[in-house]
Amino acid sequence: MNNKSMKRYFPIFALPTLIAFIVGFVIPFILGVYLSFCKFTTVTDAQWIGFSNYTKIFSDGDFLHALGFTVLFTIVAVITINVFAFMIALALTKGIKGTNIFRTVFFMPNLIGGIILGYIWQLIINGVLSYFGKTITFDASYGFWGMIILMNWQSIGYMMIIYVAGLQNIPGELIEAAQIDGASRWATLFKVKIPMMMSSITICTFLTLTNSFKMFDQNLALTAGAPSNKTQMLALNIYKTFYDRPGTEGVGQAKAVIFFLIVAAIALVQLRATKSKEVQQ
Amino acid sequence: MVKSKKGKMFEGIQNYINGIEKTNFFRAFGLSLLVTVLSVAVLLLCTSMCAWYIVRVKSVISSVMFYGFVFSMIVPFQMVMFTLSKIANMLKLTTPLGLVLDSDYQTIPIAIQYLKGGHGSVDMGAMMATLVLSIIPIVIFYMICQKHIIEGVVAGAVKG
Repeated sequence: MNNKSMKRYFPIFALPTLIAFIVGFVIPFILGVYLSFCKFTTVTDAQWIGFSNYTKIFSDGDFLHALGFTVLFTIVAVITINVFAFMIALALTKGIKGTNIFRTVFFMPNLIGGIILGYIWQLIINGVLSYFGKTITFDASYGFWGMIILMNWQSIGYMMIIYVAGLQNIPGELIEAAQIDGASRWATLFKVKIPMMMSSITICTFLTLTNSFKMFDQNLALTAGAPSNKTQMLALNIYKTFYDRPGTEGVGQAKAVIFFLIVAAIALVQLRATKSKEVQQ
Repeated sequence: MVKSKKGKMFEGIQNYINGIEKTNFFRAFGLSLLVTVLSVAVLLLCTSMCAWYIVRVKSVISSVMFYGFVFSMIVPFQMVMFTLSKIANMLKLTTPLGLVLDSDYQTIPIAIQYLKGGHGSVDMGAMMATLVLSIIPIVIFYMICQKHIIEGVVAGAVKG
């Protein structure tokens, strides 16, 4: 079967998914971009107002705070999650007994969905903090670290699995060669193992980066932005812009476009940077 | 909240009974199961066929679809949420003939939400019990299939 004859399978193989994709994503996306330049309450009464929505964004204190908070959160989350996951992966590839059980147990938190997780952790953290007479909404830093802990708990298992697989793919001869050449354990780690793991690192960094930046469910369930929107992240801020008061939908859509552009930019930069470091085996 | 095993607040199995009654749990579970099985079946069918096409047929549309799908993974949900809800409205997906969010046909997450009464009152005991109950099916499924699940995660992420 050559290319040309296989093409006739398009309608039955690819079309259903493509149609769903266009209706469920492409159209809302393009419509969304168009609407960000309009003032509207329902889609049909849109009036074009140019960049007016965008300029309003920069005078929205909550949005700018959410932006800073989200960036800070993402940086801390990406570093903590990847470092811990990598360390645990290293530990699990030493061939200790019970490795499989650990892998299973570590992966489990990833199965529990965002909102449920948020509620459970909120109960736990508030329970612990109540001994000190405080709740998680007492101070923004409590909410911040609460969410970091939550994100770590949920993501480490997933990333760890990827790192374990990456580590197991490193040819044993390479490690042996390094040891014969007299490399210390640290040198082996940094000069041999990590460069060979670059493709896993690329993927894990990309996933934690985009997941942390776009985080919504856990934010809503853990703190809902309290106190006074100080722990509100970007996604929650945009959501509230749409549904809290009528009349700001245009601004909400504009914020969403900016949100998307930032995420895309970060993702592209990160992928370029780490892909260039990938070593061919 | 449980203070001590023998304290006055230990409700024992009563929490589970309350929770199950208030949320009509088994019905919610049945609906969640139905929705899950159907959606996963349709999803697997459609996306695997589309994936086959993208890989085996070299054409412009293949590349367009591929990059389009990758693109959609980056775009945050907020970007499309408002317009999507309007389209869903237009396609009449929010009436009883389409997606159902209220009263008779609640799936588990919706049912749990209803445990939060007005004015922020939450039936803690029942909520904890139902949260535990909702996690159990997923954990069981994972235990059964874990080898394949982990293989899948790895296959998608690591080269070679």
